[in-house]
Amino acid sequence: MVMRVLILWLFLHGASGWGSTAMLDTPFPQSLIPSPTGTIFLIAVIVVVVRLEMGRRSEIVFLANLGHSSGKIALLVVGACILLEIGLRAAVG
Amino acid sequence: MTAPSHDPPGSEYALRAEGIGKSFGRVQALKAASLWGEAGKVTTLLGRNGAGKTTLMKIAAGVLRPDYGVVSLVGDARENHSLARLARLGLMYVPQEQLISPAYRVRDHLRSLATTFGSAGIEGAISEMRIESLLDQRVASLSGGERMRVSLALALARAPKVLIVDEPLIRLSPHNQEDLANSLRTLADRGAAVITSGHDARVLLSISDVILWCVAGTTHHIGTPTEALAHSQFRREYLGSTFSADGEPTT
Repeated sequence: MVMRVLILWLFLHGASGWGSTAMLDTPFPQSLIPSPTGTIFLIAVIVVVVRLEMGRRSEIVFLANLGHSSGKIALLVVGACILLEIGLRAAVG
Repeated sequence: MTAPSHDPPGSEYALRAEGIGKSFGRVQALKAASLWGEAGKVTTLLGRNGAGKTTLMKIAAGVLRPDYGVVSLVGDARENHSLARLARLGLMYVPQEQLISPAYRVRDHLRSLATTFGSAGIEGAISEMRIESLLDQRVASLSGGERMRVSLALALARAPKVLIVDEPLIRLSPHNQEDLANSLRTLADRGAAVITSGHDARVLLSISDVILWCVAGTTHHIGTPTEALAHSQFRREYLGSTFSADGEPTT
């Protein structure tokens, strides 16, 4: 799950950063940092995609049998995204 | 027909799903259906295709929310349980599709189970279900029978209070059917309340203690397999006139 979040997060930030540099002339690497609304949107997309992928691979029922609810999984994904966002902002400065 | 499901007085049920109703759009899948699981017993839900068995089992397992009705596990009664919550209380649900993820190896599933519930029963379950040779294989490469053996190994290792297994014998050879059915019996003999379903009536009747008949969206308590075989309407409308419990067709 962590790998999925990391790959999606990198892909979405890369894409939005490239778009921001190309269309809004935001300098790199500042273009990698989305606006607060954009950040919330990207995290929501990651949560939905991870949830759909886990459902497709029958992981949701298995994890639920271990006592892990969908809400708990979503919280973990959001937590991982927030850590990555903090790391990115610290790195970019 | 027997009166709609009333549980025998004095019975102690590990799981009770009572008065369950569920509609999908205009289609009413269940109306006042009930399902019970008793510790140490195998309860089998039989019924024609589309009778509502899978829907009822999903609701009892907390996977689907009922429109009305109550699910109670070891005394914790709620209208809206989730599988995760029920699992923490001791329930395990093996869906008709599959419990295990094709993305991972068999060993990964057992490791996850051991991390959450302890590794006490893992080795025993592996040898009991004869899955030693499958441990390093990815689930995607396993046959249907092997996947069900792995799922039941997880159940044996978990030792749940209640095990709900939806149509475990589907698409299995007769020999594998008997093997897996015996594993369900073993789980019940160890104290679990096992609830299962399917159409392989001969095998299921041989391991069951209680038969519930799911018909037209509701359930009827038929009784023991012997009582089920003597139930003329159940025989006529579900088992069919040529059914024989010993496998020889009657004339």
